[in-house]
Amino acid sequence: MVFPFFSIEVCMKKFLLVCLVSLPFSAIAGMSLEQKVKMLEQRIEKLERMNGAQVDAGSGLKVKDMGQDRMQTGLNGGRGVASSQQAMPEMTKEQQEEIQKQLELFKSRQEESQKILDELMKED
Amino acid sequence: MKYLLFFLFSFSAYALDFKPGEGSQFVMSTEGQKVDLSIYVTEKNATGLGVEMHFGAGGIMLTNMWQQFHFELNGDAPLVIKSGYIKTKPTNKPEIMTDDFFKQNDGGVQMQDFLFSNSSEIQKDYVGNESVELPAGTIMAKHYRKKRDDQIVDFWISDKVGPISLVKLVSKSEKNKRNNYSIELASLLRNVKASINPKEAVKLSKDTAEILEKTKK
Repeated sequence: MVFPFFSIEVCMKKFLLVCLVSLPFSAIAGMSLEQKVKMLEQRIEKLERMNGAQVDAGSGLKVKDMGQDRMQTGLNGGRGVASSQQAMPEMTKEQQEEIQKQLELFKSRQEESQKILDELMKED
Repeated sequence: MKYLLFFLFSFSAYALDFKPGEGSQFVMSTEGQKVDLSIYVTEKNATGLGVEMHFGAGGIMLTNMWQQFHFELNGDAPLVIKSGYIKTKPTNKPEIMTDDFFKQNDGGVQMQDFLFSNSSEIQKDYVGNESVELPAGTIMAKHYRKKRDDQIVDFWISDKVGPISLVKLVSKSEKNKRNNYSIELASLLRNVKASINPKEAVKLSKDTAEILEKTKK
């Protein structure tokens, strides 16, 4: 069936395309910055656990073993939350790179999704 | 304000075993800035307790400052500071702090408010048991509130956390902006080596005295 201005098939295709591209990321895209940070923190915690970060048996809280080093900002062992620019000193370089990759992937997919939406808007 | 932390030590001074090298690292938020604050035991014997604090901040200019205090343990009596030392740079020699820097004279909650001869004294400030979410993890802790003048200090203590039982502290004041800060446990510390050797300490310099004067205000 052909409509005077646009076909239902074209509309359906566009709709499906938008759903396919946007839906997998809509959960993340709809998050507030705070939620995104929380999600990344959880991921960091998970990776830290995988990396063997110590936890106190009595309280279940994080433990930093200084191995008889002095506390000093600027030295690997002495960096804390505030003095660490990336706030994840216990992670290995590979793990940090993996998170960076995921962030870039998320960003590129979001851009891709936006691009498709923009094109569809133009066509209409 | 840093003194507040010290005297939360006294709350558990008789209940917990202080092991040299053990302590806590906090993240302190004050006036829009974040500072790492580490507090750990340097020595413990029958009559005394040594505690060192490290203040560290990142960014373009790395900041490091250490202070070490020696407390006299005398049965159930409140802790008394015997001596204090300060080191402002890794390469500097520690300097001997004078008594006037052990006291806070700006009104508000005073350090002596935290000098307890026994834990029952603090019970009047008890608010309730609460689950506290911290950078170090989540824990159930006892919530207390202290007031003096217009400063209100809320703090959370857990018996499961040693040797420093403090896990969170929030101070608010409308009159004095310096009394607006919060402290949260970032991680427990183990095997920390003291940065200050009191045997190497020299007389307090004019520059360091000025730094300490600023922190008192």
